[in-house]
Amino acid sequence: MNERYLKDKLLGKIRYPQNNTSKKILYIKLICSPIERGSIEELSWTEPFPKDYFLIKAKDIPGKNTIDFGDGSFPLLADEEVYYPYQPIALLVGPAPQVLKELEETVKLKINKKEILPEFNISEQEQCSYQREIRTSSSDGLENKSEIIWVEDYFEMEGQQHSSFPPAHSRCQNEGMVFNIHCITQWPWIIKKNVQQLLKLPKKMVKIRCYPCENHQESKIFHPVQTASFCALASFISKKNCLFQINPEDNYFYAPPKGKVGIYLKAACNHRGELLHLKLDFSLEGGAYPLWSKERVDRMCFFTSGVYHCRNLEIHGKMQRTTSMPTGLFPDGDLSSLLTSIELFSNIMAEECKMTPLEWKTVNLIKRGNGWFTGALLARNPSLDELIKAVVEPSDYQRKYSAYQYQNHLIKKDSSKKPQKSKGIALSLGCIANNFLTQQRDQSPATISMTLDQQGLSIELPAPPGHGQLYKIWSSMASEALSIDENNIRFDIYKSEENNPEGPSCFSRNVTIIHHQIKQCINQIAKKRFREPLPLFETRRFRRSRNWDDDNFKGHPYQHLSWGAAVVELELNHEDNSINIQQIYIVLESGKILLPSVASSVVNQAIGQSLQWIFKSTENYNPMGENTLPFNLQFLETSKEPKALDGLVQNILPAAIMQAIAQASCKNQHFLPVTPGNWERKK
Amino acid sequence: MAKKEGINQIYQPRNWNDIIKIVDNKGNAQLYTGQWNKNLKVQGGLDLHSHLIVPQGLEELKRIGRTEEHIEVGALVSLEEFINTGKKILPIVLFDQIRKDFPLPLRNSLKVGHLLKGLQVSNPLILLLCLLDCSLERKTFKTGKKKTHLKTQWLYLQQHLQDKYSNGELLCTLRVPIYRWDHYLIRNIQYSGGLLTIIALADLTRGYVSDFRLGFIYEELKPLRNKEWEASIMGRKNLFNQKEKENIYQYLLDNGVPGDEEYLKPSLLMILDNLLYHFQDREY
Amino acid sequence: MTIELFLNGEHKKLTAQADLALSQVLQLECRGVNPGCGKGYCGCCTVLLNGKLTYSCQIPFFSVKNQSIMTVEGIQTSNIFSDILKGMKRAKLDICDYCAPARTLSFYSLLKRADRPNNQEIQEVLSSIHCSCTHIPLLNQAIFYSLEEKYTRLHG
Repeated sequence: MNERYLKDKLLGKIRYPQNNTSKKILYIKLICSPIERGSIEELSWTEPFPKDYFLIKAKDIPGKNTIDFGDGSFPLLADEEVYYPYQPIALLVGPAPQVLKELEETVKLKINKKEILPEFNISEQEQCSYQREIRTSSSDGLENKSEIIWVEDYFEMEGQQHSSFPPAHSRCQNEGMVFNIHCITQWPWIIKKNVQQLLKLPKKMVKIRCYPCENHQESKIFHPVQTASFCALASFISKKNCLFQINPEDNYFYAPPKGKVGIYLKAACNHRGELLHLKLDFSLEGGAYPLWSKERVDRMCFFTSGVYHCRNLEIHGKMQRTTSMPTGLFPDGDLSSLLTSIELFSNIMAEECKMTPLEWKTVNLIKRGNGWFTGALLARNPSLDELIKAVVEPSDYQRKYSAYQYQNHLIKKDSSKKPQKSKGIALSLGCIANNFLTQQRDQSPATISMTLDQQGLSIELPAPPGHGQLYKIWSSMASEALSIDENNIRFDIYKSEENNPEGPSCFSRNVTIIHHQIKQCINQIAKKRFREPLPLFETRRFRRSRNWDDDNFKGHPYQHLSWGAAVVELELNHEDNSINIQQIYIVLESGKILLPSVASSVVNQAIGQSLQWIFKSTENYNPMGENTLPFNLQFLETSKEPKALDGLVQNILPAAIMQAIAQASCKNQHFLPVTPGNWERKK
Repeated sequence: MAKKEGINQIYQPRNWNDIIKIVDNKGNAQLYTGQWNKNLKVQGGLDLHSHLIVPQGLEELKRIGRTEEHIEVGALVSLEEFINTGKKILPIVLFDQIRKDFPLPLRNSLKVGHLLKGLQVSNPLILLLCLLDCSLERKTFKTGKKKTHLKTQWLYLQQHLQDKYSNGELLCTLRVPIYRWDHYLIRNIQYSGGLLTIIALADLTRGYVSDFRLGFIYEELKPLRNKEWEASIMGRKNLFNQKEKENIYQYLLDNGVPGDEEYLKPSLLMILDNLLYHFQDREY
Repeated sequence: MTIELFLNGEHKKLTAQADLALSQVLQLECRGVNPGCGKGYCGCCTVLLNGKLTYSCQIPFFSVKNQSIMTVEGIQTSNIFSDILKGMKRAKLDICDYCAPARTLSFYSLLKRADRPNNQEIQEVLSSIHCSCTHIPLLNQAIFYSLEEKYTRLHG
């Protein structure tokens, strides 16, 4: 690592939007709805505001009061009705944050309560924002066959929680009615579009300055849009610079909600354990304003059978509206919930077929040449056999699994001999693919442009890369190919005035898409060099694969899929149901690893995220505690191209932990998070 | 003396007379013991009391003293200093629990007074301090006809918790008996009714229980401790028999802990069964 | 209120609301303080208050009168900082921008305090900052390398 870069980092020289505060800056305080649902009757203030302090309501917005993501939208400020708790209603703007706090108390807000929407329930049909039904075959012929084993089960999972820091602060510099918005974002284009619409401004008057994201920001593709819009609005009205700083009391930004996922599965297997038919019925909780409904539901439909081969499917998926905050989007949508359920379900199926989970998995694994139900064929072998071998052998899975099963058998026989502690071990498999499924023009594309002139090479990126180290990799790649000094290579982020729509950027997207585009551009420039006069210009634009038809669900949307396997061994203390994870073996096949240190830190972070998801809080398990987690990580590099990594661990690890708990406690797990309350909960 | 800033008032008295005047005028004034928005669950911004006393001088509040039987710690001694001074003579369980609850940077800023005033009743540390028979010095201010005077009183923590909080009192010193408990067990049972914490302390001499403490804490209930059980256990080689265990469970139900035959009871009985095993396993 | 204090060794007069959190005041003065959660959990706003590691979001402004505060800028010329820099580089530590200053300061407090810290001391320093950007063994490694660098510098 470059020593200067590291030194700057350690000394905190990396700037964030909140660092550039001057005395003339105005601060913003949100006035939020205290209740879940109601109509706004009155918004007034008892005393006149001091000079320089003012309130902005929905009616003061010059343009369109909407935050639009292309697939779902919601109002920036509630106008007449509120649909979820803490919905922003107005902005208090002024030079001193403390005075704003006092003024907030003088604002009188009267909201008439209204009936709230029904709570999340898989059988709810009316409040659906989007649904899809796919049926590739019917189960009628199988119903009466005696040798067919039918298994059905229901799983309910709370979604993952977003990481809350660094907080998505935003600042807007008003420079002669040109709005320079400083924010930490993965999706500058969507901010620009929304601010333009909000303030009715031409393209040239809104400029976005992006700050380094790091991989913490993976999931934050919608909060910065709001915070940036608040700043721009306040700056437009006050004609001054404004800062929106997220405070711990801003519940909405600090505790983004976790939508629930309900999954009903029914499957038919023959006596050899082969999966013949699978029925999936699922429902996602979308909050008051469901966002990316189509994307999230479709993605789950595509991965219905997980890593197992089954072409006879009946799928019904939907997204339900509820009276809760809008939920964000993870790199994998809600795939982790589905894949965890499938893995848990596969264990139950294996049990019914009188097989071990490993045997059942081996029989049903997807292989090269197997087609997806969408008609696409898997062009490359997913190397799942190798992955299984790589985790099963070092962990001694087979022997331990049998030993723990025998222990359970003895306990079931004589419950008085229940030991104080028991152990469990489990294996799980999973996959992931980044990119949006939708063909919508503003969700997926990414454009890279490169100019070689006398000053050196300039590379323009659509958003800051998912990790600062990627700059280093790209500049050394360019320096090697073009024999240019690394100091003469500049990176510009989102500067061109044309501003083509760009999809959100994240670490996986950078390594699979942007890296490939940069490589192509460099090759092209190397060819043109010394043949054509300077400056040389090259651009590459990523577009969604044409082999995919998202309306009819036909074809193959993903060029590269990443695969992974995990084995978890844990010990359960029956006294207080505390869990002690003893070993984790993770093997991932995500193509070429560009940066081993970054990849392992991404995996490490994903493990923390998974554990927080499973155990709800850090109370049960503290990854930073004295007992550091014993985990073994291995990457299988089978291809030369880098592939997706984010979200892969979340798709495999929770299933393995839950299965291991199920074995140790002799109780199948159906609910996430794994809390004692959920252990005892009836389906 | 008083400085008006924002919503809060901060007082910086130099002697007890000044403190008396403040507390006499502002009954709810409290010593500033480093607690500042500590309660992570409260999402209401900064959580300061409206009137804070930040004494300048008053060395007795910042002092750690020792007698043959006790260690006396002033309310303004930082937790880290308390741990470092007392770690050789005071029970290890107390320090383990403080370390577990507060990371190093918080221990550096929080004072001992925070243990007495800032913690919620449901915190296991409160139960632990009760089981260790800690006592505290309470200063109250009595306004007579002519003048206000200071009254100092020592009382056990458990007794203090039973009293209703009254305005105009200051908790000044914590007194911890010097006794090293060799064995301890802290268990949290989280069940559908809530979270029940169990703390057991014991000393074993040649396999016999020479001293024993057992207490429970459930959410907002006051710490539950029955000294009769503790006395009956002393001198035994085994701990509770089946009937006694059932009695303990019944005692919890009688004191307002919601029952749960399916999960709470078996877990509780199992923990009580295995107590001795744990103690023998953990030797310090 | 205006109070006098020593910030990174310099005598300063700062004016702010008495009940503001120290982190909110310091973020205007120094780059090395990144207020994160504001609840004393993430640890990104860690400073050295009178030489002791403290969460500045948990310290009210009024209470730092005449106290000495050290942020990461105050240690940049020290030998221990260069030991940490070398140690982190050797361990190929890939730390995130947001927690980096606080992490550095926590390493500094450990290296300054002890030549041969025990495992408990190391764990305490590591667990005072709750950022999951880096794998813990890697942080451990960085501490060991930094200690080694310090030892080599002092004893050759």
